[in-house]
Amino acid sequence: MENEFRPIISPNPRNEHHNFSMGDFRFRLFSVLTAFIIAFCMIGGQMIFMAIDPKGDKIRSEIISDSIGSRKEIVDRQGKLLATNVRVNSLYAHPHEIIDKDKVIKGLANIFSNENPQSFQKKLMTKKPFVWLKKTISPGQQQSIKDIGQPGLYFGPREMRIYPNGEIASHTIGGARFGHERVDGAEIIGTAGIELYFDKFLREPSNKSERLELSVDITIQALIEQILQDGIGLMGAKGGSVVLMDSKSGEILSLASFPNFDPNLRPKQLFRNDPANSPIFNRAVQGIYELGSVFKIFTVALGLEENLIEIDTQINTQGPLKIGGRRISDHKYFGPSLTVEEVIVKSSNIGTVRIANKIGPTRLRQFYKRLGLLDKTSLELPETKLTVPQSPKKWKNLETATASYGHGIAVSPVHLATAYASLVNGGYKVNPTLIKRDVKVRERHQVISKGTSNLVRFLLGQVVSKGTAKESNFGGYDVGGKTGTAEKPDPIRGGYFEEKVISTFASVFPVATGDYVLVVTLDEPENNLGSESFRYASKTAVPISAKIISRVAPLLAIGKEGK
Amino acid sequence: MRLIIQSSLFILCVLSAVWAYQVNYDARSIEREIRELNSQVNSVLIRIDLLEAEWAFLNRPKRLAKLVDKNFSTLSLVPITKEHFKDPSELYSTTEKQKDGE
Repeated sequence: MENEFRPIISPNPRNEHHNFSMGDFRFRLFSVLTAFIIAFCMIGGQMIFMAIDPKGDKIRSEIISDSIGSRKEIVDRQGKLLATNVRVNSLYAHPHEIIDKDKVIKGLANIFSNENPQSFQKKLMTKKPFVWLKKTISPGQQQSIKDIGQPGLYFGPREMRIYPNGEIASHTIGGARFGHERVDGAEIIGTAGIELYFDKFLREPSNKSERLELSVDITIQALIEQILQDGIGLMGAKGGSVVLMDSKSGEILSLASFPNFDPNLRPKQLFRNDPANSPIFNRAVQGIYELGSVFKIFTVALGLEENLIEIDTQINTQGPLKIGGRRISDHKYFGPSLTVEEVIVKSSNIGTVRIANKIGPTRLRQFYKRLGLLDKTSLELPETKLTVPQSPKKWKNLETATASYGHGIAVSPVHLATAYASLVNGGYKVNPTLIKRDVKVRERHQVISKGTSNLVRFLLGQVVSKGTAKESNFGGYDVGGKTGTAEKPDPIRGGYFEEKVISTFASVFPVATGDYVLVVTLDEPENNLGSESFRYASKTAVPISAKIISRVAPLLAIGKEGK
Repeated sequence: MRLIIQSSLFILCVLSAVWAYQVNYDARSIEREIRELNSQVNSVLIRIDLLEAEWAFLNRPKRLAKLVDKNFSTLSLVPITKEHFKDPSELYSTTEKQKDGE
């Protein structure tokens, strides 16, 4: 019998134990090392990834850009600020948290003395958990609100659109308001003018450092607005407008309309009875007027272009003419005939109608169309979309006759400036723009030949040197232009008012190169400065234009020899 | 030998833990620093925006025109006219005349 208590000894236990423990150890060591190497690689990789990850910078730049300047700035052609954003605070309340509501209402009424105290009472006595009290407050008002010492009043950061130049270029800039409002910020949206037209671009979050550069020069704009305002005051006019355009590129350097407004406190809407009486009505763009004799140069230019007349061709000016039951005459008898040059210089209706008869309705209409006088302009303002020129539906003899001297056809001052620019710049079509262009127009579609364009400038120069605009002093500059005085249509009785006129002077300077076009339009002016009273453009719009050119031409670096 | 390896592994583990903690701590510290810097950058940019707006407001053409009128006795600033433009040759002759005068 075997001894049950004999110790169990495995065969060669030492060797077996040795083999097992060495393999086990190596396996463990290898596992641990592998684990460590993987861990180190992961941590090292992560660190390298963190160091070179472009997302990091992106996140940082987003943090910065999200909190600042959510709407792009607008600047003039010299880079001067026209519209920018400043950080302000809004005031809101949790009414249920306020302990002494009467004290808060009294305090707010004192701080915001312009506001109706009842509006605060109405807002704070509500059961709503949240109410807006003021959209923007100043730092001083914020401190005063804190001094009320009541809980439940909160301040939220937001940006506010401001226009440092006040009412200057107000019709061009338009205005903005708050859109979606939150306690940590508010969206700013454009309501009119450039602010509305370029709203999408201005709100775009990318490239916040980008700015919208306008073609307008704010120094010139301010000067023109001042001269226009003074002139309107002197002549007791209802309003007026000025368009100054670079005839080579179509860039508008100044677009003024008076009365104007402060875009920081933009009036809410147009007047219901007559929108044209509202200060927010842009006369230069929205004002559609029969502009009268300033159109005569178009008829003569086409006659010259089509070789139907020469500058010295004699035109029969015997009148009055009777066309389609209407009597057309001149304001005075000019004799049996005038040369084409004299027709423009003396502004003869009969002479112009006779030239239009040679041209014919189709060609005159097509020419007006090519000059852009029958369609909306492409100017970057939302108001242009609603402004369609008024022209005859059918161009028969009467319509052609009246349209040839600017009656029965109504356009805006911007239309007129654009057409003049195309006539005097060498004869190629330009489109008006409010955006600064770095390159000049490359594709040129000729409206008239260069030769005819030179003749047009010569004729316009003659009007100023010896015609209807000769009495004014243009600061020593050689200027060309054409006057126009048109009676205003009477919307109630029909026909025209006898004593209410729109007087216009469309000019070009320097006349040798035709670089700039200026259109001044006055609504119901009356010059009572002398012994007699005058409404003619030569006594109203021309002196204002002369003052503008003598002040603005030096600012445009036009010296003795032109540029 | 075994003890040495085990000890070294332990020490390596501890060092790794310390290093990882250090990295974590540094990362948080840098994040905080970035937040503070961002906040400072924001404040400066807001201030710049405000100063630019104020500068534009102070330089608005109407105010400058009023200041020119107000300080006419000392500055004698007048509007620029066509006569202010001179030909380079005229400038040269003026300089020569001045020299001759001296």
